[in-house]
Amino acid sequence: MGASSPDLIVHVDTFARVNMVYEVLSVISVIMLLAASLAVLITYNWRVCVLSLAVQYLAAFWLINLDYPLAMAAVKLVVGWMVCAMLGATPVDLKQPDEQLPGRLFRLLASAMVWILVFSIAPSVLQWVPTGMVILWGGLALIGMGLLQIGMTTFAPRIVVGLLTILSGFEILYSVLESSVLVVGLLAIVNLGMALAGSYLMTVSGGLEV
Amino acid sequence: MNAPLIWIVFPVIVSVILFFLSARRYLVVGLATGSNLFFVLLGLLLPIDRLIKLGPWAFEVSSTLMVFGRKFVITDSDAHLVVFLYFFAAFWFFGAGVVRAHRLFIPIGQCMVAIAVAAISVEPFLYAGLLIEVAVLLSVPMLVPPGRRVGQGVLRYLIFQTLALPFVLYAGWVSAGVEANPANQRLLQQGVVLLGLGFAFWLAVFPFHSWVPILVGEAQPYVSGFLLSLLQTVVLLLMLGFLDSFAWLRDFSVLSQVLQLVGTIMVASAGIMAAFQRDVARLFGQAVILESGFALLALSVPGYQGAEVFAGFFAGRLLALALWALALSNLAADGISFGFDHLKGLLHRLPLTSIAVVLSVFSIAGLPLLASFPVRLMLFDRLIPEAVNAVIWVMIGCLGMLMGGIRTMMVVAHSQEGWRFEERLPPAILMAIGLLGLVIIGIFPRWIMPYLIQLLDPFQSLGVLMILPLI
Repeated sequence: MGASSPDLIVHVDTFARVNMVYEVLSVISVIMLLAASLAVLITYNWRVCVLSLAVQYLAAFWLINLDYPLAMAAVKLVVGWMVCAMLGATPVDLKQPDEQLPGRLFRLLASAMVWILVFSIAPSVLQWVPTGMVILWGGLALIGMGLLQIGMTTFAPRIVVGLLTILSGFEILYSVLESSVLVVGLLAIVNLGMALAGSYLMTVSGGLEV
Repeated sequence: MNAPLIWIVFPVIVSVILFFLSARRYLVVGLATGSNLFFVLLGLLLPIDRLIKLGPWAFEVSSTLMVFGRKFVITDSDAHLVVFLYFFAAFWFFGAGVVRAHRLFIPIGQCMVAIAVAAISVEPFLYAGLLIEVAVLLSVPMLVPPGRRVGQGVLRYLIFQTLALPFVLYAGWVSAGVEANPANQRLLQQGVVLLGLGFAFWLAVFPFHSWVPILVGEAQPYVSGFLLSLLQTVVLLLMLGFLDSFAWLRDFSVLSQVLQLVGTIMVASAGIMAAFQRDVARLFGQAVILESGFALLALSVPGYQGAEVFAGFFAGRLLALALWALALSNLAADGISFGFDHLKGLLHRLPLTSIAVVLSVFSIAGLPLLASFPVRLMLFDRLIPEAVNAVIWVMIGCLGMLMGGIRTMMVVAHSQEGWRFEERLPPAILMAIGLLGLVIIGIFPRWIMPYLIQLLDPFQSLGVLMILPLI
C-alpha cells in the first residue's frame, strides 16, 4: 500500500526540515575543522598534532556525510583515523624554537587571514563547485590551512600533515561531485600511502628537521 | 584471461616477489629484466580479443578488466605502448645491476611501471590521476633509501606531484560536464585552466620546476633518472590521451598558443640556466625540463604533425637521459662528486663516462648527427611558418644547453696528468652501446621512427594512424 498524498507531503516536509537542521548543525563541524586545523598548525607537540588531525577527520566525515551515504562517508573517517594511527606510531620531535610565542602568533594571524580569504571567496567558488556553503567553507578552509602549513615549513612531518589536510579539504569538495566507489577506494589508498610515506620519511630522517 | 591481468596484475605480483628477493641483487636484476622482456614478447605476439589456437586448445585474451564498475582496457592498439613501457623497464633494470642501484629500486620500479600501464589503460581517464599519485608515493622509499637523509628535493617533489591530483580530478569532472554541454563556455574555460594546472604540476612546468634539479642532485642519479623518465613519459602520454578523448579540448582556440608559450618558456629558461650550471646532476635536471618543454612545443603543433614529432622525441630523450644517468651513477660509484671542481681531468681517467655525459648534453641540445637532432629539425620546420619568435627563443635555449655541454667538455678535458684508464668494464660496455645508439638514431632516424609512430595508435582522434614520418 502506498502512502496517501497528504501523508507523503508531511513525510517530505519532515525530511526537508531534518535535512535543514542537519545542515545548520554542520556549521559546528566547520568550527571544529577550523579549530583542529589551527591546532595542527600551531602546536609543537606531535601527539596534540595527530589528535587534532583525528578531530579534523571527524569533522570532515560530518561534512562528507551531507552528500555521501553513511557507509561511504565512514570509509573516509576510518581511513583518516588509520592515517592518524600510523603517524602517531612514529616518534617525531617537532622543533621547539627558543621563542615560541611570536611564531605561534604569526601562524595564528596567517590562519586568520586564510579564513577571511576563504569566507570571502566562497560565494565565487560556488560557481565552480555547486554545493552548500557549509561544505565550501569546510573544504576551502582545510585546503587553505594545508597550503599554509606546507608553505611555512621544510620539516617532513609538517609537510605530510599539510598535504593530508589539503587532500582532506579536497575530498570534502569532491564528495559533492563524484560518488564512485573506485574513487573513494583510490583516495583511501592515496591517504594511507601518504601516511606511510610520511612515516617512512620521518623514520629515515629520525624525526629531525632537515 | 584478460590483457590488464597480464600487463598490470602480474607485473605487480612480480614486483612483490622481487621485493622479497631484494637482498640477492643479481638474481633480482635477472628476474626483473627477464620478466619485463617476457611482457614485451607477450605484447608483440599475443592478439587481444581474438581467438588463439594452440594445438587442441583455443582461448581468447579479452581486453577489459572490470573493477568496481570501472574498466581497465588494453586493446591491440594499446599494445605498442605497453611494449614500449616494459622495454623501457627491462632496459633500466638491466642497467641497475651494472651501476649497483639500491636494492629497493627494482621492486618499486617494477610496481611503478605496472601502475603506469594501469594509468594509461583506465577508463574513465580521470582515474589516472589517482594512479599516478599512488606511483609517486611508492617512489619515496626509492628516492630516499634507508640510511640517506631526506632532502628538500624529495619533499618538493611530493608536494608538487600531490598538488596536481585535485586539479586533474576536478578537471575530469568538469570535462564530463563540457562533453554534455559543449556550448557552456565558462565550463569549458574552467576545464582547460584546471587541466593546465594539473599537468603543469606534474610536468614541472615553469614556475613549478624548482624541484627537478634539486631532486637529481640529492637522489641516486640512476633512480632519479628512471623516475623522471617514466613519470614524464606517462604524463605526456596521458596529456595526449586527454587531447585525443576531448574534441572540445583539441578545438579550444587558445590551447595551441598556450602550449607554445609554456613550452618556449621552459626550453629557454632551462637552456639559459644550463649555460650557467656548475654541476652535471643539476644540468641533468635542466635537461629534463628542456625536454618536457620540447614535448609541449610538439603538442602545440595541431593535428598529426605535432603528434608525430611528439612521438619522435621519445627515443632521443630516453636514450640520452638513460646514458647520462648511467654515467652519473658511474661517477657516484667511484665517489666522484658532480660539481665541476671535482670533474677536472676526468676524461683522462674515465673517458667513456666523460664522453657519455658530454654527448648526452649535446644530444639533448640538438647537435647534428645525434639522436634528438632529426626530430628537433622536424619541429622547427613545422613551427617556423607560424611562430618565428618562439623558434628564436627555443634556439636560445638549445644554445644554452650546448654551452652547458661545452663547459662540461672543457672541464673534463682540462688536465696536466697523463692518461690512465680506470673505467670499469660492465658500465663501460653499456655506455659504449648507448653512445652508439645516440649516433645511429641521429644518422638513421628512419630506422626507429615507424616504431615510435605506432605508439600513437591508441590516439585515433588525432588522425595519426598510418601516417608515415616525413624524414
